[in-house]
Amino acid sequence: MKDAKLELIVGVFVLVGIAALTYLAVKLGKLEVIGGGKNLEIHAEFDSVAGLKDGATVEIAGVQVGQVKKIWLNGDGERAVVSFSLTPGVKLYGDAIASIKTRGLIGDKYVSLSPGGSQKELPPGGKIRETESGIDFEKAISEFIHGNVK
Amino acid sequence: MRWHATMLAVVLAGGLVGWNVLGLTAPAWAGPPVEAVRKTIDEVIRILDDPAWKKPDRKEERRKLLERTISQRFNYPEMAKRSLGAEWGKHSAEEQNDFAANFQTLLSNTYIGRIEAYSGEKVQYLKELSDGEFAEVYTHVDTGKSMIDINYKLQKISDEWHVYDVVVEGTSLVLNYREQFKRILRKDSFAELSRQLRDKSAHIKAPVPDGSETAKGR
Repeated sequence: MKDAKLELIVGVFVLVGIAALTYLAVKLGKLEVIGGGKNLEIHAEFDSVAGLKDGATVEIAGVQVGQVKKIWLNGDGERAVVSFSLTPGVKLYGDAIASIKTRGLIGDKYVSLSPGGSQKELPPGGKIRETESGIDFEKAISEFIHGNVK
Repeated sequence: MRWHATMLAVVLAGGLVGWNVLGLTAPAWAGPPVEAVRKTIDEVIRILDDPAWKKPDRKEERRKLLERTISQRFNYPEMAKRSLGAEWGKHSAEEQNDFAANFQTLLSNTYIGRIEAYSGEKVQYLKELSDGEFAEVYTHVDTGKSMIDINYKLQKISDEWHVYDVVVEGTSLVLNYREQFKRILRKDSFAELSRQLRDKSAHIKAPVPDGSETAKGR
């Protein structure tokens, strides 16, 4: 009888431990198991997304409103398509602009959104037409160090 | 003989490519958006290169002509609307028109001096991306010292393509002004922003170049 009670306590303890570990893994891996379906999916095409990674943050006015889900090449194989998952309630309009920014001079890349304000709201699955790939610091520095051809 | 024919073909092909790169003829891929941008740029360069317009007493007239030529292609009200973002919808049509006019003067005064300083820079048309009524035209401007990437974003309105944003070296003109306007509007009113635009335009207005126009400020 006493053994059964002990086993039950151990069992519950193990289950709680597994639940805690799962929660930690989901949180640290930034996976969306619960509530992921409600998020707003938007995509945008950039000339270059050099340095941007899956899971990078998406911000409006410095506030995180989502993350980068996937990055791939478009049909022509020339431009990068980035899909974002945004938290519910975020409103974007037809003239919204997505730009790739760097945290500090050599920090991580993230996506900054300017929501715009035209009459047409961007529907779920919509595409942000206006994008900015940002200044390529490496290119600028390399031109500065090595000089131009001309 | 065959070798000569091959060489001739290579030279001709090379010549054609070079010709295209210099933007002297329309590349085969060029669609209506590229043609629209090219038409305006060619017209601006023609005015700037025309010796008749270089006479000192006609500079003021030339500036007006340049502004008119550019404003036929650039959709300033749309640029003003996009730069203002959500704030645009909160104001009456009259206020919007007034703001767009001030914004046009600001852009015009900011860039006209640089356009007048033109000295034979080559414009290359690289590619065009179009998506329904929207398009983006990629160009390179070769200043002789460096290459500058300039992309024009266009929208088709009643069968004519108009520019609503210019992206220079990856940075958008509209986004630049949108962020500045947002910062001003956080502290001040819309009327104050309009006043600041007017003041700034008057302040930066480039003097009409005199006859001794040189490479200064290039």
